[in-house]
Amino acid sequence: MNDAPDHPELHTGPSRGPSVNRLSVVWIVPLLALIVSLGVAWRTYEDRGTLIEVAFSEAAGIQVGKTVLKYREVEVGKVESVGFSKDLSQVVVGIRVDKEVAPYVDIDSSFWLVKPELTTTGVSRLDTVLSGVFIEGLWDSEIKAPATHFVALKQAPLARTPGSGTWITLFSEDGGSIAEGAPVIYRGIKVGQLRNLRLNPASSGVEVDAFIEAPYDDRLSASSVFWDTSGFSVSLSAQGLKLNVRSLASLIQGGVEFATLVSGGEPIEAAHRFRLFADEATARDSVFSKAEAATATLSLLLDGSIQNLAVGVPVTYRGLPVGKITDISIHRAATPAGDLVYRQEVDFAVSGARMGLPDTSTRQEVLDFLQDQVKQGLRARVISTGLLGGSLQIELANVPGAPPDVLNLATGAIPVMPQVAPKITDLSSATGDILNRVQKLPIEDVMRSAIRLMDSANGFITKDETQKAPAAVVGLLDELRGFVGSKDVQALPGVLHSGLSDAQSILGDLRKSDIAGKVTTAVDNVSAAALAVTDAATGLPALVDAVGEMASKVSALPLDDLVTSTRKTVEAAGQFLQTDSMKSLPASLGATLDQVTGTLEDLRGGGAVANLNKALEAARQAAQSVAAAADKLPDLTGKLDDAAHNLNTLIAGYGPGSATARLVQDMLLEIQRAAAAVGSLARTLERNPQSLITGR
Amino acid sequence: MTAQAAHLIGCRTCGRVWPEGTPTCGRCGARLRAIRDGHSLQAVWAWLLAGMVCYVPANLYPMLNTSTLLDKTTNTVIGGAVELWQGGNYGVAAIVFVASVMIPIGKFIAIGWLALAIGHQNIPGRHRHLRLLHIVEFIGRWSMVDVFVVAILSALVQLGVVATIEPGPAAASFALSVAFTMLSAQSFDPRTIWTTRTP
Repeated sequence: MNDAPDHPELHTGPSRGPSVNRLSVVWIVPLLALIVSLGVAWRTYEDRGTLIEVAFSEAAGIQVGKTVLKYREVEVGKVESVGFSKDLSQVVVGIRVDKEVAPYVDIDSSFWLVKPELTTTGVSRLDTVLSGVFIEGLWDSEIKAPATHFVALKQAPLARTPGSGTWITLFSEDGGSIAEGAPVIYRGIKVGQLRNLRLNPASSGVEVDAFIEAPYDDRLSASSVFWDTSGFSVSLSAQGLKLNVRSLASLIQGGVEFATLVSGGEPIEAAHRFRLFADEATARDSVFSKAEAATATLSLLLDGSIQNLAVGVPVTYRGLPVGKITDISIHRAATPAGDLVYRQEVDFAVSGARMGLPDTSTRQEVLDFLQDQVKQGLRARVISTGLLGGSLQIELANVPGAPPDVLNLATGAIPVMPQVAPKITDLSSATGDILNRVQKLPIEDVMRSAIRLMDSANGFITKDETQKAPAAVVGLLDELRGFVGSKDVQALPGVLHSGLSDAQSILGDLRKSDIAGKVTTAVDNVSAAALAVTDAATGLPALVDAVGEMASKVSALPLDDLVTSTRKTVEAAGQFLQTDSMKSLPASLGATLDQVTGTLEDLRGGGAVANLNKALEAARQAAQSVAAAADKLPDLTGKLDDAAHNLNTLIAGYGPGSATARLVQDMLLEIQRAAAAVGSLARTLERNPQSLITGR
Repeated sequence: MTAQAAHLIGCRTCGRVWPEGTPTCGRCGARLRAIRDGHSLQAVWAWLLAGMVCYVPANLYPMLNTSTLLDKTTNTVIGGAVELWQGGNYGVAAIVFVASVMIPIGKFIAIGWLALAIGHQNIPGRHRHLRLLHIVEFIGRWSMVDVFVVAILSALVQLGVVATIEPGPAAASFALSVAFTMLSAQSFDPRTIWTTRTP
């Protein structure tokens, strides 16, 4: 170790004495700690701000220590306590406001709760769903009398800062469909909001506050007009159908639109009261009634009873509205003769500005202007307007050639405007006439007749007999079908067959019996008869008389009647065939015809044709026999000639010209005709042997 | 026979014994303190006081500022422990409570008691005093658990908007308090336990 000998020279001074009496420097540390802690505590106390109390009706979502107070979205305080007022009617929320802003929280401050809201105009403050509600405060930059107790607003104020807009009040008779928070629209842009819809305590109407935001409130003037754009409007006019929906929000919660129609209106102050009109047209018209100074009121006395004039109906001049009817009443006046005359008095206001006068013109100037115009021929008249001419207006028109007239401005009464005859389109009255005629039509009689007819038809149809008729027809047809299909008819071919066989045998018999010879014999007999006639010529006159009598009887037969009857029958038959029932028969007839066809088939199958051919063959043979007989006809003719010659001789015996001779000559002619007929018969048979069968 | 009786003084740094009155150790250069030097006890008291002063704001101010997406909470030490207890985390709550409340306060009491005992020699139980001093010195370092928790959480949970944890003013105070208390314990000269007051 090298430290032993020299260590004393390090420091050999005496100890500094008892240190108990000296304070250690270490004490500075707790002292500093104390000072710092106290300093921090003091600062904390100093910085904790002032406590204010805000009374809410309910403390939805407010949490102690969490809910904050914000000013312009910056946190400036925190809720420290939530309690009740003494009467439990309100929730008193204690808020510790930061020191920096505390002085500004004065009596003008306002507080409200910010929470998420879903309205027709949109969703607002969605952020508070996550972050929780907060209390927002609003105060200005001036320090005024301090306050610690406030009552919270029910909803956020619209005017956040002074000068950020203008509050006005709208009043109306009816709230319409306006809702709290509805927009105020100016030329289609939302420029404000409605608040505090309430019943007017002083009158029967309603009031609502409207806040017009800052840049737009310059558009307001004393001549602004407000109207309700709630919902949608549908108007049908001569221009067509018009549907007007301003915005979806106004459709649901209503809305108010305004316009400043007349420029140069006086600027308004806050809380100016405007009338809220029901619709735009009314609002625009109201401009005229507002400018009282430039309006002249005139009246019109109407003799007739004109119904469609009403207060508010426009007064037009050259097609433009220049005023409107303000009052309609009964005017009573006495004629010079002393009789009382009642007339309809229509008072109307005319706006001078609309007539082209300066805005500043007074009532007197308007009246003077009108007086001047009346002297130049301005007259009032009632005209009809509208789609059907149903509504009426008053028109001021320059009527050339009108009798000179003036306005009587001297008396204090409303001056009477000279008028001309109304110009009412008669469309409505014409329509009325048509309606009257239609009304007079015996529609009811026609209807009654129709009903009776229908009843009769119905009765006829529902009658049992009628109901049975189709069945009867069907039955008839069934019977016919049955008849056609019956064995008898079906057996007809067989019968015909046998009949034809009979005819065949008859013709064969005819051939065998030598008809020609018999004809010759007959002619011989005729010849003999003629000879006998010659003998019996003495009895001829009586015979001739009898023949003549018979002829006269034949001619007296009522053939005409027969023909007439026949014609009638034919006509009746024709009508019968035209009837519907006959037309409906074909279906049944078809079936019947089918049967007939079947029958014909049977006929063919039954060998009828073959039989017919056989019959025709027989007939041909008969005809040949006849032809052979006809060869002998010249003999017959000669004999007939002989007979005629004999007759001539006979006649010659009676002497020519006598009546007997004429009759005999007639008879001879008949005989010659008979001979000719026999000749033609022979030729016909020769050419057409079938005629013997067919009879033609 | 004691060193004191032999008027010798031991260096607390290297252990070499010097005659009483020697100002610095000739071997290591450390300043030699007389056992009777009141500086030791004064320092104990001073550090202890500073630690206690700092312990007050450490419990009044928030330890953690926790801001999540929806919420923003501040917790003091005791408030946090109570909240944990109410939330059912009894173990964690107990650890927090022991580390943050019981140990610091126990240290204050223990050091204060030792200082008093040394100041007044008539208090018996010197061996127990020494053991207590050793315990206090051993436990002292664990008191920093709270501060470490805050430091680690602040460093880890920095998720921006979603969740952020920041140390509050209490964290610094607590750390100071613990540090001062440790210094207080360090200031103790164990020799003083054995010194007998000269009448």
